[in-house]
Amino acid sequence: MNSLLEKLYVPGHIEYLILDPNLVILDKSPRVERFAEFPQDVAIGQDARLSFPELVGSETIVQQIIAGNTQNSYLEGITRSSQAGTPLYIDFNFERIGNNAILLMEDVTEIMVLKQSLLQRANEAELLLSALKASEDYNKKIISSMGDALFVTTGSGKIKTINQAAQQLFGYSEDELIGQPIALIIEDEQFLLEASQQKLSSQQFLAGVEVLCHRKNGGELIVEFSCSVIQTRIQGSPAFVYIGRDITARKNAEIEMNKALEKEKELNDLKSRFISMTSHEFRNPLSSILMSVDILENFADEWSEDRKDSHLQRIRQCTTTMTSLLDDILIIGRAEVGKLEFKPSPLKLTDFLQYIVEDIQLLAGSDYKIALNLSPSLDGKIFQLDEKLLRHILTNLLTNAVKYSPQGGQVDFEVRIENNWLHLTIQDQGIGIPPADQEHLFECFHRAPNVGDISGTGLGLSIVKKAVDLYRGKIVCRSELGVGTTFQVDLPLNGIPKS
Amino acid sequence: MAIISKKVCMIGDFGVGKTSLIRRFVERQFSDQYLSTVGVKISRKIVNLQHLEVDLSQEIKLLIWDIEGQTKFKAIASSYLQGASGILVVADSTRQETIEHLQDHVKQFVAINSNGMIAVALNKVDLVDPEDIEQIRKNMSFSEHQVLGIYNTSAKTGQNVDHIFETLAFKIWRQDNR
Ligand SMILES: Nc1nc2c(ncn2[C@@H]2O[C@H](COP(=O)(O)OP(=O)(O)OP(=O)(O)O)[C@@H](O)[C@H]2O)c(=O)[nH]1
Ligand SMILES: [Mg+2]
Repeated sequence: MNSLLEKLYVPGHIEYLILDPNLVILDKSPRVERFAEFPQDVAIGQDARLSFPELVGSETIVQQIIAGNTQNSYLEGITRSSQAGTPLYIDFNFERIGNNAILLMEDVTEIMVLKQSLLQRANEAELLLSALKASEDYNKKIISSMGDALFVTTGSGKIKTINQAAQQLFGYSEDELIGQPIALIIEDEQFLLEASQQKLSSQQFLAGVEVLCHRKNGGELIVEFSCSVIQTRIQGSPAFVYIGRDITARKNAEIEMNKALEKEKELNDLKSRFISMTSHEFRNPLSSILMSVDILENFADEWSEDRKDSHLQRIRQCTTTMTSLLDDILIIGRAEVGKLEFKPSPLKLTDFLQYIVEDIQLLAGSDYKIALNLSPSLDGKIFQLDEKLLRHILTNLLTNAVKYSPQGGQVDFEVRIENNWLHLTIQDQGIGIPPADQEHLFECFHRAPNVGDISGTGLGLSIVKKAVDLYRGKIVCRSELGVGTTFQVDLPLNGIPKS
Repeated sequence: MAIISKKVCMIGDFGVGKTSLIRRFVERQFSDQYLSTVGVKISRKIVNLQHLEVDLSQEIKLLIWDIEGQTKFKAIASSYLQGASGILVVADSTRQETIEHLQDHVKQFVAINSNGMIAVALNKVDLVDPEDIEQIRKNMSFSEHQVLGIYNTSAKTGQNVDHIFETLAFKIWRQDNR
């Protein structure tokens, strides 16, 4: 065996073991112990696995090599963790030698240490890159999945980065926005100015600023923006991060809500006014009645029939006032809850008008004159009209006209038909309505300050307005203080025009 | 009773924590520093199988081959895997590509040693949300019958480290003693 090996040239830095198929050492190089983990166990006739534990598992390889099934087996850079100090790296190379195997071992520590430092750098760089990529990927995904619009600009406001939501919200493509000034999107100069001043204090955060913006197609948007400043790699060159949320829908809902609240407040006001007014309006006639009853109780025996009569008269008068007040309140109440309806039916207009005028004339007495001016073309004609609504309109307007006219005053009532519209004009020469009160004319219980002690509920014109509205008609008022008032009511004749 | 020695290999991509798992198992230590392995570094540890089966008073000496991790430029040398009774295939749960490579590593080993036992370690679970780990596990499966199971491990916290080595050792022993 030795003689065989002596023919081989084995360089000085290589050691060897010659092994039989059971890994028993048949021969060894003189200094092979320096590579063994347990040098004391290196001996001819010993199991090589005792001194070289890493040979556990190499049985098959050795056998295959000896059998000629495998040419050789090469294991690069084996080291042991049990080794203290600088590690020793050995290359193992199994080859066949006669009917045995030779394990050639070479110290490759130097090259392996070098390799290690190269690999170390490469792997660290790769790990860093992979972590960076993962986090970039992650951030990108977050940004692109954000529901809020994101803009990042340079210090001077040039757009550098945008996300999907920003493109969708404003209707621009990425190409159209990158490089453009942010002012293209945010037109609110005040906000941009405030944002740019933050350059000074980058800890700050401008939040919740509502900005009116425009889509590419011109559509309006209300966007709630926040802005913060981030430091870029270049010292003194910050970037601005704008995040915008479309709050148009919310704003509109808010407006609607405010409207509803306003309406509710109005209704509440109305209710309180209603209660105070009605109680007030009822108190006067009630106390009058009480007073008259008192007087009658105490003095009826002493008084003449005439005097008693005047008190009974007053009681009747007060009761009538209260009844009409109650009627008006009921009408308004019904209109308020939508129970007052437009229900037209055939009506002989001239007869109806004459009847109403006569009625009012009767109440007004001979001191006043109501002049009804009917166009002859109306004679005897029948129209589809809502008698009830018409009655509400006319009795109130005519009663008012009379009530606020001076003694002996005349009320002109003109009725025309033109293009399927019924035009009713009621003109008096009464006290007139102050300009400031004209816009509140149709509000419940509103009464102008110049009414003096002329009694009234403040409901008549509200009823008129409600009836005209149900009719989809129009009412206008022209009035001058001390000169008179004209109400013009126009009602469509062919049912309700489509709104 | 003679103590049995068995060769097991750690394989997987670079930086997944092969060395750290061994270090935790053998030396009960962990370091956050990364020192990449070149060639192969061999460690030893005697495992008492009593941990797994109470009646069993059997010890097994594992020779653990910590093999240089696979990189884009270098595959794992198959010669290292020859004669291994089992392998521990390791992936880094924070790096998807290392998980995707598990299958290739398993195949490489099975091609060399169709009888060897295989344990799969999803390492560094301390860095990942348990929910995500669940999802990762759902997305993977191994058809090879040699695969004992997939273990969530952490060399840092020690989670499942002893367990995975001991299980591997036990299955290797049982295969020889059926
Ligand atoms: N948080 C955490 N870090 C770990 C864990 N395992 C390993 N690491 C870290 O991951 C890095 C790589 O670990 P190694 O054990 O050297 O990885 P390797 O698989 O041996 O790498 P190569 O030798 O290059 O193939 C080191 O910085 C370790 O500290 C773990 O379970 N949790
Ligand atoms: Mg390593």
